[in-house]
Amino acid sequence: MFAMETNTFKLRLLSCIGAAQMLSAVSLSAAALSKEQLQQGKELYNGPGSCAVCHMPDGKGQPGAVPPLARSEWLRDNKPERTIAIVLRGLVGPMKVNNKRYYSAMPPQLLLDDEKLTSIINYVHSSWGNKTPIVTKEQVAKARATLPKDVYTTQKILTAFPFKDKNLAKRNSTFKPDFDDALKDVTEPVVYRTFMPGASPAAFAVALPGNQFYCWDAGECRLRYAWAKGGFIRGNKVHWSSNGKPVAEFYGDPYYRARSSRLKPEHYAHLAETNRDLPFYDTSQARDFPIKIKGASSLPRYRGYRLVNGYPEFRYALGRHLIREMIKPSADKKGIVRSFSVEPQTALIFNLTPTELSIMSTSAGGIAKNGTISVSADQSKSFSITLIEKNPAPPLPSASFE
Amino acid sequence: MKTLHTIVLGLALSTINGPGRTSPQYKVTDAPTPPSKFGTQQIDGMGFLPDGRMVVCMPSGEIFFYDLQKKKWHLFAEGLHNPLGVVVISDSELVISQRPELTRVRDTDGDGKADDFEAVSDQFGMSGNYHEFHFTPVRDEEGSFYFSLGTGSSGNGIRPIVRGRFDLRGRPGRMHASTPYRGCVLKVTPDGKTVPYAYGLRTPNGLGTDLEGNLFVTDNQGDWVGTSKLFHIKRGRFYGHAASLTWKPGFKDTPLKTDPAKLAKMRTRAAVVFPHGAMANSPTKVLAITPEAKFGPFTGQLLVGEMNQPRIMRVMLEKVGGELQGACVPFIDGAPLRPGVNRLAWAPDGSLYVGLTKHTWVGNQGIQHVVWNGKTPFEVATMELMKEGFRFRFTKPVDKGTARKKETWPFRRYYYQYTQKYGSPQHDVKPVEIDSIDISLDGRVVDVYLGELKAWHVHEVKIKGLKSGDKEDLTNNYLVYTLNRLLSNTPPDPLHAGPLLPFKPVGKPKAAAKPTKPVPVKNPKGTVYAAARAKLKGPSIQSRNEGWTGTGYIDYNKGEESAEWQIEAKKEGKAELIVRYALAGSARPLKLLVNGSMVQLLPFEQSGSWTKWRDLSTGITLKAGANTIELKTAGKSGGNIDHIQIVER
Repeated sequence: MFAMETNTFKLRLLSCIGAAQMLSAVSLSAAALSKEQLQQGKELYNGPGSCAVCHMPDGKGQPGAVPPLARSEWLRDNKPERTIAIVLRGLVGPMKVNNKRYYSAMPPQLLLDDEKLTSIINYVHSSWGNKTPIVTKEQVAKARATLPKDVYTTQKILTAFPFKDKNLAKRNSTFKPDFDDALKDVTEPVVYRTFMPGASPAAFAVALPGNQFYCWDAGECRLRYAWAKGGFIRGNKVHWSSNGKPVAEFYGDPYYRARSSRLKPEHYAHLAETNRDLPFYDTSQARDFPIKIKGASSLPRYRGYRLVNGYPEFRYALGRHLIREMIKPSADKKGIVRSFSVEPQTALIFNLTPTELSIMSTSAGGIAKNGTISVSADQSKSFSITLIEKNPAPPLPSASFE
Repeated sequence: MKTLHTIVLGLALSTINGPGRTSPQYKVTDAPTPPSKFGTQQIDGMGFLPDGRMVVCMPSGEIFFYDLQKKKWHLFAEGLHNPLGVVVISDSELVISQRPELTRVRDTDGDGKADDFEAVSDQFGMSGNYHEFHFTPVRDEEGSFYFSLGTGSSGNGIRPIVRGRFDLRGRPGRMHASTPYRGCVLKVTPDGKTVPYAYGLRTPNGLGTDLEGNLFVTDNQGDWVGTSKLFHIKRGRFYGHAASLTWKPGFKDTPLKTDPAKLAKMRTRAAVVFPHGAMANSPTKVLAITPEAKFGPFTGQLLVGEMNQPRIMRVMLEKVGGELQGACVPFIDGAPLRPGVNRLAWAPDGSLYVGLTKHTWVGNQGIQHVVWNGKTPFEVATMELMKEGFRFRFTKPVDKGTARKKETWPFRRYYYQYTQKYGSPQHDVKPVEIDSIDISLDGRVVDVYLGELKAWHVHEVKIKGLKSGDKEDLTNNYLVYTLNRLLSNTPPDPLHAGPLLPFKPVGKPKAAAKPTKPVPVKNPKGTVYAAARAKLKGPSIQSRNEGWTGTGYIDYNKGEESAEWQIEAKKEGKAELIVRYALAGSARPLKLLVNGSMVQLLPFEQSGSWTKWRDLSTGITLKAGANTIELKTAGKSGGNIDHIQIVER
């Protein structure tokens, strides 16, 4: 109805690529919406307890957890009816959006009337670069009355509203979830040795209870980075079940990343590559080991790890000193606590990488601006470093249909 | 690369007629598979605990124990990186090969789950290439461990950060060794030192020892490996694959720039070759038939698995001229045995368990069980070299009538070239004449005298129509003897080296692009809209390739990308759109959208090179005032777009 009132609707002609056949789809374009209507949709979208909580105000969703609406390929093949169906009935199950895997559930939006839903859908259809035809209140009302009552599974929604374009259909489908995909709420530590981006090939990926994750590199005996948003690694199964090429993926940005003097900023976009002619550096050149002990070698030797209640405690040697490092979630679950012990005890310097993204503290006194911690021989028996993410992700509302 | 592989393999497979069979005295059945939480059934490591439970390692990083009596699986450890072999130390301690390390995996608190993972050795490099597997540890009587390291494949490159020292000399080639000891067998001494033990291997998936403690490893056909092989590994030796020479002390050259004839002089020949296609394409684990094994009259011989065909081979060796050499023969062959035979282990009752894998190559998954019924099969027990021929000992007396005939023994001989090329055809293939045949009184030994025995040549025979005295067909009649040395007067090794191939360097830094300068727009027909005025979704503005106007050109990547111009039209109606572009290689069509609607697919034929700029012209319809012109990718990248012109009529 909005469109009719504005009097500016027009026909859009779509053509099949590479074919002369013209297919005419009579749809209403975004231009048909007035500023007020868009504004109303935007307010409802961002309203308390509404779409933006999960899909975020910018429509980008939450990597690994909530699919994006902005530039979602699910909105690209001009099937506005599909959006209506998802919003009215909900959608559950493993689904690929823009070729990324999601394993989450969207509840049906039962509290919003036809007009409000229409408004929200049209806002989504015309925002963030989306150019999906807008819908009418009548369409929503009809769908509400006639659609099957069950929550859609990915399979069912794709049967009811299939993608015509083969490529889109492949990139936006259901998939068989493996262990990694189902790992949403980590309740006990998970330890994988696998290929991780930005680490030597001898890497660990560890998930801690409370959904804190880190990558520890046995090639350099140090924590590489820690992250919390976006979930644990994906694709570990793809790594080992194929011939071992793929590097694991994760979606969150690390809130702590240890400095590597051998990596330049322009290298960072390439850290997951497997097809290079030459490396950026090899670990025999790595001079970034964070612990300096006077008179001891600067290159550590990896010795192994043990599991204590499932948590790995890494051990490595620097000269004659054996260092143990155990990483656990912080008490507030917003970061990690790294506990160290050195044997025989010795005074040492620990170099943290300063970052704006986390709050750091240590049991061994102060941290200098450049990240240096001076640990006394006494303290070296047992000291800890806490890294807390400055801007943790808001908790997701629980929506589960499993 | 991979596709090509598959095709080649497919062709090869379709032409193979299995030369072997399984004697009816051996029964192959499927065994239960572990409940991997990832659903895989591929078996990459296999052994038995002192308490009789089976141990299996899986590519998922899980290690399971299986109680054969209670038929119960138990998860012992998880999270490991492609464990490809296991040595059992005790009921609670294993030493396993995994990609980054040789690792001691222990249950220290007795709860049945591993809780300590000690790095026994990580003193070797990893470039991160997928093909750098770490295979099958074995332990000797002193308590030293041996393990073998795969080379990297040109099927993919390496990772941005590599472990261990990177050496460019080892980087080029079909299979490479750019970090320490790829393509080597390493030894870890009881005091924990890791030393390189032997060099020159390609894909050594399967170490094993014989009953005397001799160490063996198999290798897969490919570059430098004319056909798949079994090597007797001795300290400090080089076995032929050139890449790992990068890490041999004293070898200062670049392996692939070295004359193969020089390398051939350094190499130790295989004790046994497995003819490609006919016998094996990817040999795996080596397992000696122990006195405790209940597997027929073959104690002391070796079993060798094969990935590509449903086959377990039997290898019989003898010492000639101070070195081991000998024959191989199919043994357990064909269905119900499946392909993918990767690991072999003796159960406490003396029966054989078989672990199958594939890792995306030809193979299979699961566990199979081979049981001998105690009755003597009719097989060649041994094939031994004589001064002028071969002596065949049979497990049963032969039918003397057929054994006596020369046509029962169609011998041929040939050699494989030593070359950087992928595999070698059989060279100098010749039938070998039978001089005479002697049969022992009891009918168990047949001496076949040949017209000529040629050293450094493979001699093979497909024994024809031979029956036992009680009219049983010979189960396996295809025997291949790797005749390196004669019993006396062995001539020098002719080396059989191929030519030095042109060196293809890897990782030559690309010359930094020199900045280029713009050229003026020549005689524009209409209004010029420069690249800089386009709204870009994906492409970037570049100026590497000269001949561009304005401030640069639009450089598309693969994927869904577009460039969109806002243009002004004085009036509604037809207009001409001219696109200036450069494109090397094949055509890269772009979708043309005017005011959001698809108009046509613009063909964009190649212009000849990235610095040859050309105009493409097409008719469009505009409305008066503001219009959008969009050039969108259509499944692939686009050419470089310098500017567009609008000519109103």
